[in-house]
Amino acid sequence: MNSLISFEKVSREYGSGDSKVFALRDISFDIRKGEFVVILGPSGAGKSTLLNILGGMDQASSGRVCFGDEIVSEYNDSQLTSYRAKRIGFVFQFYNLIPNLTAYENVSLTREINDTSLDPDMTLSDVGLEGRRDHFPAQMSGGEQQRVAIARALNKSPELLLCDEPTGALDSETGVHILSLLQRLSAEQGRTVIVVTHNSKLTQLAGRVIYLRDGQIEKDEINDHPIDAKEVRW
Amino acid sequence: MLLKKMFRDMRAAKVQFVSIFILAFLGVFVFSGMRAQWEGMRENVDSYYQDTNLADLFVMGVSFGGEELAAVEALNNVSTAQLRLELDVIADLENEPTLRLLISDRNDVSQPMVVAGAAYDPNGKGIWLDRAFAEGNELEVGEVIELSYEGMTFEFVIEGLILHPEFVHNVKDAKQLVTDPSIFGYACLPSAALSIPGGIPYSHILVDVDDQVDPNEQKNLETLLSEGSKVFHVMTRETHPSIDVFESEIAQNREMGNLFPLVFFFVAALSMMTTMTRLVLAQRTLIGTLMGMGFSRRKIVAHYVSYGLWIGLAGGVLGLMTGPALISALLYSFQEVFYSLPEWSSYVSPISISSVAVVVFICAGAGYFACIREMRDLPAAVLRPKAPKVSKHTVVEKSKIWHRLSFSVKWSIRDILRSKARTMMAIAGVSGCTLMLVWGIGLYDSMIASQTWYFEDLQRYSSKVYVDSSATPEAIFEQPAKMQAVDERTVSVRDGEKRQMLPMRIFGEGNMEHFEDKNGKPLTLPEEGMLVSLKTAELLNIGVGDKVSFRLLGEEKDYESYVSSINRSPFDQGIVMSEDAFEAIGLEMNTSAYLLSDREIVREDAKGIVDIKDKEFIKDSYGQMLESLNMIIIVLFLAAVLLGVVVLYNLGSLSYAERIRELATLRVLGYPLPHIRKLLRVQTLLLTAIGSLAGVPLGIFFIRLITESISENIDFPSYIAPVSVILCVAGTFVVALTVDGLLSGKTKRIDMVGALKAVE
Ligand SMILES: Nc1ncnc2c1ncn2[C@@H]1O[C@H](COP(=O)(O)OP(=O)(O)OP(=O)(O)O)[C@@H](O)[C@H]1O
Ligand SMILES: [Mg+2]
Repeated sequence: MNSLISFEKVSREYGSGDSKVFALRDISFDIRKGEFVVILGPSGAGKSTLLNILGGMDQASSGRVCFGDEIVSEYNDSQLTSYRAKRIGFVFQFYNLIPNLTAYENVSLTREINDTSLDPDMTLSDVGLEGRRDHFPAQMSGGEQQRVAIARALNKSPELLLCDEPTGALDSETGVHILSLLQRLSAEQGRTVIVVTHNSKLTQLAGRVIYLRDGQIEKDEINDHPIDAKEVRW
Repeated sequence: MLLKKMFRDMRAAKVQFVSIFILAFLGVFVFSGMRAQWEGMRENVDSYYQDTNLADLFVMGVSFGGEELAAVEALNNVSTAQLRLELDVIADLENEPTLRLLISDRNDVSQPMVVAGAAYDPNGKGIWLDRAFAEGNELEVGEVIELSYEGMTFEFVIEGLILHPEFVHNVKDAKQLVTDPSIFGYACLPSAALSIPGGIPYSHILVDVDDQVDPNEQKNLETLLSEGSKVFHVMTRETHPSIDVFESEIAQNREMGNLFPLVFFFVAALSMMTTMTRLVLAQRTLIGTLMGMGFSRRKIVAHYVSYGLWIGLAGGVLGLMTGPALISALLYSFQEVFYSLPEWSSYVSPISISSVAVVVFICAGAGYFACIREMRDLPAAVLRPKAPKVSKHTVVEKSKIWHRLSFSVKWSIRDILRSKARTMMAIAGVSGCTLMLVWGIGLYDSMIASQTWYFEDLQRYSSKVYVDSSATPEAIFEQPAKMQAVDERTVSVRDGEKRQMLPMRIFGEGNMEHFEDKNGKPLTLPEEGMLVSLKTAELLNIGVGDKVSFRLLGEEKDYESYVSSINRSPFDQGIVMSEDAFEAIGLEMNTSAYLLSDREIVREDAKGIVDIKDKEFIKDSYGQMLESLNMIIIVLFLAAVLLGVVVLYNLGSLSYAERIRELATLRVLGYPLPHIRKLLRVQTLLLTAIGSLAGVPLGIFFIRLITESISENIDFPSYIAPVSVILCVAGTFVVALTVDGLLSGKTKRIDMVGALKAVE
């Protein structure tokens, strides 16, 4: 098995007793290295929960989460921290840049904790922002901010890039830009990328689509001919 | 319904609200407490002076009798006058203390207040003794006390124990700082108890004027009586040593009581401002919704104002209920050592009560401003989350060092510049903390410095032998060469139209007492002219080269000399001359004491010794005063720590709340907890550094305010040792780091998923 990630009967529940809510219910799947996966589902399906568990921000209530040979679901807090630092890149819907750091400084944040970090200037030019180096987030457009966020996630050269609705707060044209960027990165650098969305159009982009509903996997499809993001019409 | 919301909000932001409550409480606690304390002193001493009919003017001279009394009583505006002889005698007790007898034939002016034994009888035969003196020497009513004066001895029955309004500060002279029954006491003695042929030569006429002392009154008396040539000086209440010392004690307490709470008020106002702003900002969308639902602006504003109102009121009322009682009790407990008053009670004046209103106003006002600032926008705009403040590249970043700074320092500096209100609050609180530490330690250092200066640098002798006029050096000392003679007297110096009674000391050959100029450089006793102490020079408004004209006690002749240098000494004000210079203007030295470095040279069979005092003995009483100062230092210390903790804790949790999103982002990026704590600590340390650097000069300024208001007779330079400054700054940092430690647990509880779920 050359799977990078495997979920075995993973559940995540909130609350207890009568008010117990299952955000994820006995989920199992594998993701191979280099795959570009889209996770699709209606609001409340548990997409973010799944991604958070994958990214080491949250822990499963039961089941097993493996990353390579390691069992992430048994990690303690400091192991999780270094797991996030070394292996995971995270991109959010609302960018979550540090407002009083410039683009360059936001990207450099990874260098404080990760020695395999890349040169922030290089990463910024990878996402096409070399001219925005010394701008603060508030001085940039949403799309530019999201690109900074992607650059920040990529700068530690993560094995897994997780994106929770990266285009959710952007207009369609900018969204396409961001997605083709992600697609390109996955193809060129062979990175594993997982994108969460509730926009079904995006399924055409991915080599694989996992449909989620009520905390369970509804469908898991392989798409042999993903199209280029630029051809998607909204 | 909004009230319910208010309590829920308060619970949610409890650290901030608790800290505002504490600050409002402390502001009023300290202000009303310290005010009630000095206003209590004011009230108590005023009614004491009133009840005992304290004299308004004290005419001093020699051999007064009925004739002079009649002349004074005949003056306009004078209601009563009374003759009195003041006589220092030695009590036949263990340490041979001096007892000042107040001998009078009436009891109309400056009456003693009897606290035990028989009522005072101006025609009685017994003696009424100073209570502290009686207690200190274990004397009781009904016992007999033996007194000696110039070789004669007398015995009196103690009829009662008294307090006297002219001895609130119960000391022999300005050099004795604290009441000490083994050195000094006083007693009232009816003239009838003595039988002196030719009548008693009274030294004082106590004058009680009708309304207020007319400024011309003093002059009138002087001119009128000086024609008879027996008047030496007329003293007002303002220049009476005991009255003056107590007045300046009140003034000092007033000074402290006005300055000290300012720090708290200021910080409370800033805290309220930041907290309310933060709260209103967090509820921006809610305000928009309420506005949209049709709540009137006034109703919404009133809602936010009521936050401040209730907290300010609760804190303030609690402060007012506890402050006057606790603070007065604390401060009185050591003032009682220095001053004797019949009653020590606090007085809560309308001004103290109004401090509650001030605090409520500050708190409610802060809520008001924070709220209307947000409501200026239209409901639709308010509904949208507020755009984050734009960070800018500031001037600091243009400098070269910027690039050398570590990432966390850069980040902190930007954050500090971005959140100005929070920064101001932190700096004000921290500098208040350092200020109070510097203030307390500085007062202590100043006292110690004056102590060393006076007892080590200026006074080089170890013992002082007081002698009577019959004594000769040969009759007292085995090796007369090893000591220095000194003549200590009081002279009346012309000061424009008035006269001032001032101490004058004339020194014979020797080097037992040193003198220093304004800059601390040694001065030698001039062969002609006089040294005048700085405080005295200021009093007389004279400088080097100016002429000084003075009279000796009981003489009419004027002598004249000039100021050759100005000297400084903490406790010895007045004039100093060398024997040569004194003789050069036609006067003769009359030795009253000898200064010696070794007590051994006093003969076993010495004749003419009145008293021997060791310097250590006097130094001890000074030490006693220092000990009581420890109390003030502890109070200042506690206040400093409390202020520092409250403000820094509030700062920490505010900055934590405001930056939770950033911190959660860092956690997601994989920043370890210690790293994040360090980021927060760097900011605290930066603000602490700025605040404490600002606090040091402020503290020094406050020390000076106190030392300068101390007394006419004490020249007390403010001083703080560099090492103390370092300690104060270090202490502030310890407070900051401790609070930081207390807050560090919060970082562990950062909920990444929750904090990043949506935009605020
Ligand atoms: N902290 C929480 N406490 C209780 N229930 C929660 C909590 N967080 C999430 N849930 C529940 O878990 C379920 C899944 O939430 P999740 O955020 O994963 O949904 P999602 O698929 O990301 O939805 P969306 O597309 O709206 O972002 C939801 O039903 C939600 O109510
Ligand atoms: Mg989601």
